[in-house]
Amino acid sequence: MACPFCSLLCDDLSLTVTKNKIVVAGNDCHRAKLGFEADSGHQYPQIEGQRVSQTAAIKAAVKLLHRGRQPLISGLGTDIEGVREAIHLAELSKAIVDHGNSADFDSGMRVMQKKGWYMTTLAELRNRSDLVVIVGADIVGNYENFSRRFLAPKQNLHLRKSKRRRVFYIGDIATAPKSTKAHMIESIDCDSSRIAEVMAALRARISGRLLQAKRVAKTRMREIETLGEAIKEADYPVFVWAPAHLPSVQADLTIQSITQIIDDLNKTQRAAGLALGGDNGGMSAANVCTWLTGYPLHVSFAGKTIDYDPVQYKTSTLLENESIDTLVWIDSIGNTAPPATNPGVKRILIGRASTEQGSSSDVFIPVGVPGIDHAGTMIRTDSVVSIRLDQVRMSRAPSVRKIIRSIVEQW
Amino acid sequence: MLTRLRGAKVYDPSNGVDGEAQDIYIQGNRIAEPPVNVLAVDKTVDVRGCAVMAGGIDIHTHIGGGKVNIARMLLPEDHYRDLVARGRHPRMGCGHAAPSTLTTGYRYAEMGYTACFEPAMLPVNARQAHMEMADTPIIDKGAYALLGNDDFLLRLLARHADTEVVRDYVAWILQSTQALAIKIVNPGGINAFKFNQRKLNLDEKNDSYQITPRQILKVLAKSVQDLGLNHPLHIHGCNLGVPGNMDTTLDMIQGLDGIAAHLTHLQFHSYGLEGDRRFSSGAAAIAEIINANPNISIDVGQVMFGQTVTESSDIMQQYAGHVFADPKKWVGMDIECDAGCGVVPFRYRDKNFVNALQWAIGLELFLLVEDPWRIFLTTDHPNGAPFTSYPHLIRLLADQSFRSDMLATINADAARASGLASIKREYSLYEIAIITRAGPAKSLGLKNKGHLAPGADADITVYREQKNYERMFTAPEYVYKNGTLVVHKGRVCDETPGTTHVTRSDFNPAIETKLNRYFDRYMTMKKNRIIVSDDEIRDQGRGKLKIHRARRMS
Repeated sequence: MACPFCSLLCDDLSLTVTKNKIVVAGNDCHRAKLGFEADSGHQYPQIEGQRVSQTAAIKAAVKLLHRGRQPLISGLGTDIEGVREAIHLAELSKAIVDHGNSADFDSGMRVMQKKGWYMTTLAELRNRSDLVVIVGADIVGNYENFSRRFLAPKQNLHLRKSKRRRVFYIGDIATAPKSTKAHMIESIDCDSSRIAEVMAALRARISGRLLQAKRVAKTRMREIETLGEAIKEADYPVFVWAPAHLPSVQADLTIQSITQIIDDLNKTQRAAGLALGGDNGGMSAANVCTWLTGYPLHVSFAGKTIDYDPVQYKTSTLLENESIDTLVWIDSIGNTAPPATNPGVKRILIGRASTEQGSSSDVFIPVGVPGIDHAGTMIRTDSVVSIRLDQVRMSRAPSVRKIIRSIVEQW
Repeated sequence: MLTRLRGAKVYDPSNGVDGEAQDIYIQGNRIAEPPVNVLAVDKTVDVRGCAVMAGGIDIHTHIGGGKVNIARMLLPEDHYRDLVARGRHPRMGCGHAAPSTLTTGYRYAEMGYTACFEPAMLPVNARQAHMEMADTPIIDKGAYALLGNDDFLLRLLARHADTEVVRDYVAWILQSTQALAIKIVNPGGINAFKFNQRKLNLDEKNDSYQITPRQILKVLAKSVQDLGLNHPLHIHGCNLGVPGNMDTTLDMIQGLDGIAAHLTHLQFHSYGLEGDRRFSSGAAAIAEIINANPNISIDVGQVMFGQTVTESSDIMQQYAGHVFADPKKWVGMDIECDAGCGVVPFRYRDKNFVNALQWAIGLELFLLVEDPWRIFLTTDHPNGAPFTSYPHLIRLLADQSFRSDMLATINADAARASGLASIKREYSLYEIAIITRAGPAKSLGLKNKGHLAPGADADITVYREQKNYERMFTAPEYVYKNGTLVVHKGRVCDETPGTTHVTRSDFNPAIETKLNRYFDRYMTMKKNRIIVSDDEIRDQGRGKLKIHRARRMS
């Protein structure tokens, strides 16, 4: 079975379903457990906290959106099929479109759109990378299966038996993965709030520049140099980072340094990067929005033509500036609450049936979870592979796709 | 309802009709026989002064999949320059060289095209490719599955697996990725680049697997032939873009030994090394060998001047070319032990010697290859130019004086280095109909497309006759898709969902055991996860699927 609860979209889970309660076996990931084992809930569609029929709730949502002068459709914790409908609705209702987590992966998008980059995917990393550098990514806390599935496996296509994979971790030692018998993690402690400086120093050393400093942001240059040398000897070093785990002020700089290291290396050897992120449907939303509108989120249909503004059209900015009067928050995957809005902002929440959102919304429509209550498709963190999720239990809960399609059809 | 298109000149090369005034009848979604009783006609559309052809078919255009979307993401500045206002199309959109899927479908339809095929679908990315094509309105679609750099196949070849095993694998890929045909790109070269090999000639070994591109080509071309697929192996050869690569192309064609093959965007593979700049046209020699080898078909991949973006799975060559990126940014990827990709924005300049000569070489190929049934009109959208440049290209092929005028505007040295000035040939409408619809339909085995005989799909384009073919082909008077009028006077007026075309062949299920083991051992998901089901294509009625059966020959 496949899991939608982070952007790795692991498909090696065993699930047992008894009377619609799911138990995860054979996999320790706490996010999977939380996601699958959450209460199925008995939420009903609600208007201002009062139970109504689905038809009535949809009608009310249509009415609110018609009245709204500047809606925002965000959250987008859903599958490709759901995002498609959301974009269609955005066009009809002249809304702005964003994803709830986009702030997490925007930094990478900025670097990509400015300079481009060289990336790889999980099977390449697993089968060919003889040196992995984890840059500040808290894989232990957030991508628990990463080590087991991609770093640890003994069987691989291309690593010579004589050459074991080396794994380096740069960041706060407290979140470093632990070495196991299977493989050793070589940790380079660094003040995680200054990781950009360490990466810049690494880049300088790899390209042969001399630095006077003995330490960079409390990290010893000697360790950075050792890492640099190992990278230059490696057949296929892969740098792994998670934009959400980098200090927001330095994220762009850090990612840019990493991509420039990769660029420098590819002149004479081979190297690549891999970004972990786009959880809760973020990767799917960014990709679907791109193919339907040309732009990766942060788009507005308010005017005559589609407007793209990754600075302005951010959920938090719009809410702070009180620029919107209607919020459509879609989240059928995560369990986090939708953002607070000022009084006067109408709230249409389309969320997991196991969450209680009736009291904090004008309209609440409970939906099923892709990968639990209905099949759906999502795009993995490395942005090339899309996984088909299964329906694993009997369920009447409608999908986001179905609900928004109904809203679109009644427009 | 029986509709009659009355009074147009019909160009239907598949049925030998060359500009005769004929009425076309549409019943439902098909072209119908003329009724015995003329009173049976419900609606007559007066198309006197028009030329009628079957809907256009683009046999090689990048319209769906990871690299197409990477290009969109990379280039918001491409979109700003070309915004589709609310109301212009049924859905808003944008983009010039990297348009959104919606804009792509509408624009193709407005240009009179009714079927388009994505030529480089990575098996691991097949699902996304199909989903993007599902969001491409009106046109029929399909894709070619990319093989020849995937570790699974290369391992089979390195271990001297039986040809039957390879053939079963190819058939399994065809089915699992819902592909219409099989594609190969820089055989073994994309894989070699992952191991830091920077070039790979036809008879040079991929360091990891110790196999040559020629060996891979031969095996795949034979598999495709043995499976009885309608379309031959679709080949993007070695050394794309490398000066002097005409020798590679000639060598490869000779080595194919009569096996059917389709060589794609051949303009990029037709370069010589003559002259001060060591870059010259190889079109004459290439055209000659194509003319002499009836087993070969090609599409040109014409370059047009202006801004575009190159999207290719050939990361080896994209890496080499990235230094010319304009704007100066690019994306490269090593992908899932399957293939790779590179997206490099590019600007072809008429005053630049190389670009100007590339433009001329493409035109030389069009004009020197004699059999229009074996050469198809493409710009390898968007690699040579966006597909919206097709009308301009048609004019260049049909109007020698216009061509001559254009030749006078390009880099003068390039004009002199090309034989184009001395070629007087002009394509007739009949020949244009072949290279833009009849030929591609036949090559892909789409029996109900590309022609206008009763029984054919009612994909019909009506152009108002004009001397200036660029104007004529830019805005058709009427376009029918499955019998529904979807475009009127060059603007979309209605929509109807397009069909996804796939080819299917039998295979020994033993291959699945091998694949299960391989995926379980080495890959990042179970083998069944990459299979795209029929239901996914049909998607609750949102899409349609047409399965073409291969003629299996053991």
